[in-house]
Amino acid sequence: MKHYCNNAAILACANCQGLITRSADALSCPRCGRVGEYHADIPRFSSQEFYWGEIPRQQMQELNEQARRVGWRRAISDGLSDDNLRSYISSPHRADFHYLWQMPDGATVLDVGAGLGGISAALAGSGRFARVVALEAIWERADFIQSRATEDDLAIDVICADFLNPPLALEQFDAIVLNGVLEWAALNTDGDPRDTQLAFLKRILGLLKPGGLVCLGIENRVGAESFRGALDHSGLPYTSLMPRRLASYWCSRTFNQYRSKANRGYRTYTYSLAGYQKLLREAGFIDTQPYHAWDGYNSPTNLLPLNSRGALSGFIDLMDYRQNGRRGMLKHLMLKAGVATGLWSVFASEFTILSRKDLC
Amino acid sequence: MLDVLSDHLKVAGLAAGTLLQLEARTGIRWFAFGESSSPIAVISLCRTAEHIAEAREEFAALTVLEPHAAVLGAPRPLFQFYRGDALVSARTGIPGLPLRGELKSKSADAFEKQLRIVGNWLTVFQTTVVKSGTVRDRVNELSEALRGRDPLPNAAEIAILERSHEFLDRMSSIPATAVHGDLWPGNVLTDRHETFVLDWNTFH
Repeated sequence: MKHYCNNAAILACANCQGLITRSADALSCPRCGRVGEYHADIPRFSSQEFYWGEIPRQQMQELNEQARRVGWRRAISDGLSDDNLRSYISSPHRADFHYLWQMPDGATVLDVGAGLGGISAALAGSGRFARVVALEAIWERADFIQSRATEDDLAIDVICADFLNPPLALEQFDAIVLNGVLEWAALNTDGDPRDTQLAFLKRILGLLKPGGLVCLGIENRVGAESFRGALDHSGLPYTSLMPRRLASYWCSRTFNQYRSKANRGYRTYTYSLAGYQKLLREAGFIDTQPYHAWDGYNSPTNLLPLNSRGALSGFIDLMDYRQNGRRGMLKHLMLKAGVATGLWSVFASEFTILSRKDLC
Repeated sequence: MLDVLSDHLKVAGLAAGTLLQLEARTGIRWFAFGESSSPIAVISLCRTAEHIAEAREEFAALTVLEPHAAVLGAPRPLFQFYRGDALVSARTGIPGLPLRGELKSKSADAFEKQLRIVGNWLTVFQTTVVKSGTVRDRVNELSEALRGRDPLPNAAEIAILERSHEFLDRMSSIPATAVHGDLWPGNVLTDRHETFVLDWNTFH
């Protein structure tokens, strides 16, 4: 029997890497037996019981029904009142980081934790890539991505599976996007969160072709916004700035606050830029290029190369904050000082980081 | 995209350096930097028909002005190519900071200084880029172009044309001059006593 290839993605058993075959609706590994099923044109490997998302489950299910009836754009226009959320789902600029990727046209890209398909659709809509594979663990969200791919005739292959155990054969992608994903990797696991994140990155490295690229979108543990009290992934302010053990204790004590009911201590680790560089190096990545995602990594159009003082200084000149009175002049001087001292990289709030797998 | 841009910049004799990516009115814009804070090159990706037309007009203007680029402080055109439906257009970067858009009433000295900078540059510009003929010739050309335009000129435009014809004889002795077309403080940059001017898409 021929192995099952979901158009672009070669599926392989998450446990033993045996190539997955399809028989009727069953997806099977030659060694491990049945590992998933084929449902509504989507290979599904994760349980339908678990749900997580910006949109409550019942509303998400209704949205999917509407998307099938009237189209996904009309469904989110009618069903979602939050403008930011609608833009987050539908903006064609969600994947503008891809312009900085050094790779030939016709590449295959994996979008890990694809959510509602904003990045996958923007990548596929760019016309630059042969296929985009959207990996999403939550069935309702995978279903929504499938609806928008079908409606917009986008070259997206949706796979519903846990991103820590992707059912994918090794060395098949030219680029892998981890946008707002790495920090969540250890949320539902045991053991040290950093070890889980490192193991996850090693797994991602394995999926890349030699010379392939990972594109990481993530917050800075010590970013300026954290000091201003922005909510951390724990749902609480300042936890990223605390020593890990104190943050863990604090999360356990304040379990009744927003989003932190699920906290079993502090497990959503973020790092400083140096911390990410070390983590990527330990995972086997090379040639790391960090960018300050000026408007956040979910709006990755304005990307400032942190390894170039000339570019950062040039950016300040281009913005010309001096035109805005004393406050503008102060901002101008502070940013210039940030470039001169190297503190810009230390306190940038959010990063888009590109890193490569070695060619050999 | 980065591969393609690097190759084109190499052909143009420039090292790609590090790219800063910014959102621009016309689409996305990349600034290639080396060690200094002045960009080596500025590359625009234009997607809409209107922005593509603007970029093509500016590239054509910079090509005409290229022999005088150093004197005028204008960028030099580098390359243009289509990528799918989008146009990629590149020019050299220019150094400096723009003139102030707003000045306080007590800043008379600064205002005078800015006027002097622009005045000096205009003198250089209009004596360097010499247009043949007179203002009368240009007004006649414009009238012809407008009359043949689709859509036809509106009532206000016709009134202006008719009024201008009343003065045509007086304009026959005034030589025609080159016009930047969008000269405002944001498009005039200064760097150590040198003046540079941006945005040439309305040059005529």
